[in-house]
Amino acid sequence: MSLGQLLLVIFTYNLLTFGNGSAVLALLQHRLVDDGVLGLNQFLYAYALGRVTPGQNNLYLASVGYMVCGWLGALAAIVAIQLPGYLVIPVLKGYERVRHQRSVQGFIRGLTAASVGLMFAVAFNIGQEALTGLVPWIVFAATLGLVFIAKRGLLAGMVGAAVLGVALKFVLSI
Amino acid sequence: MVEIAETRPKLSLAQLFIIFFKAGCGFGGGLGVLALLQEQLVTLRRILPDRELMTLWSIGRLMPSGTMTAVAVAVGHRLCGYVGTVVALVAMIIPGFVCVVVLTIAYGYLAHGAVLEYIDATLLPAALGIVWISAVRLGKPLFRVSLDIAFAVIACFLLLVTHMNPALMLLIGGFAGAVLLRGPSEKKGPEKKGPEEKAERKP
Repeated sequence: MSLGQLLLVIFTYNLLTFGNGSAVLALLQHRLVDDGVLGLNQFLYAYALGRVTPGQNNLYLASVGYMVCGWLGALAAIVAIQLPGYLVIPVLKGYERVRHQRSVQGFIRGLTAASVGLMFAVAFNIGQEALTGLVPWIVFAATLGLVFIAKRGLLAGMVGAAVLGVALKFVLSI
Repeated sequence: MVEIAETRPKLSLAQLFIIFFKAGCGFGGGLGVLALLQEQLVTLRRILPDRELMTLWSIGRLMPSGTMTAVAVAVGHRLCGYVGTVVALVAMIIPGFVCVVVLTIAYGYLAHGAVLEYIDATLLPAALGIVWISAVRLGKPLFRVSLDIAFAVIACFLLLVTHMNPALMLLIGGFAGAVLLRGPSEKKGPEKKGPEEKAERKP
């Protein structure tokens, strides 16, 4: 697969899928794995990286890009997943024109309320995947404790709790 | 009323870069990034009101590709114009991009090892903690008896039970809101009394 094809595939799939990263995953798996561009293990490894590295989950596409076309592929993948985000500018400009209408205010209130529900649903789903044993529960509780009780920042709380988790896991594995 | 503020707070490109770079260090996907961005923009620097960030995130959910990409573009554009969008995006991507590529290069060593499992058991639960904190902080304005909180609960329930497309759920919430939630939503706290009114109440 050439660099141009890779860019086009990732850009098109990202542009066509709204609000659901797993749809992109299914499309890409079909295009890359089923067509023999990548092995299934490589593809799953790339996807796993998106979960365990900082930033948005869709950065796993940089890994896919690297596997297909090296550094240029990684950069092309990143550009392809960022470009559709610019659609938000005309959308917000349009919103500015009509935001004083009561129905638009109601739309945004409903949208925001549903978003809060979505955030809790996502948090619940991540919890089902992440809290699978004693150590993960302790790390989770330690993060909340560091932020709410010890008044640490979010990043410090997260790193502190993760370090505690590594130490606990190491001790338990001895 | 939820609205995008019209005034543009002053922020240098370097400050914008630092804010989004820190946010990009968040684990747990887009919500982890949002949690750190909320801390920087709303709690620490007071550049945006929390409801505005929530509105941008909600609209970002309706955009194709990544939600936080749309949020970074929107915030970067509002604070520093088109150059700001590039700075915000680049800063937010760098931490994850570097980690992803380095770990991809190390594929041969890591694919069959326990390193990823180790990260899964330690960093992911920590990221979950900040995701919950972010959800609570951003949802705070809704936590009162209102139709808004009913919308949030119903949306959460439907998403968990039906696994429907989140963008579709948000659109349904928006259109239902256009019919049922017309009008301002600010919580009306006890209004501060003017000096005359206070004087009248004194015995």
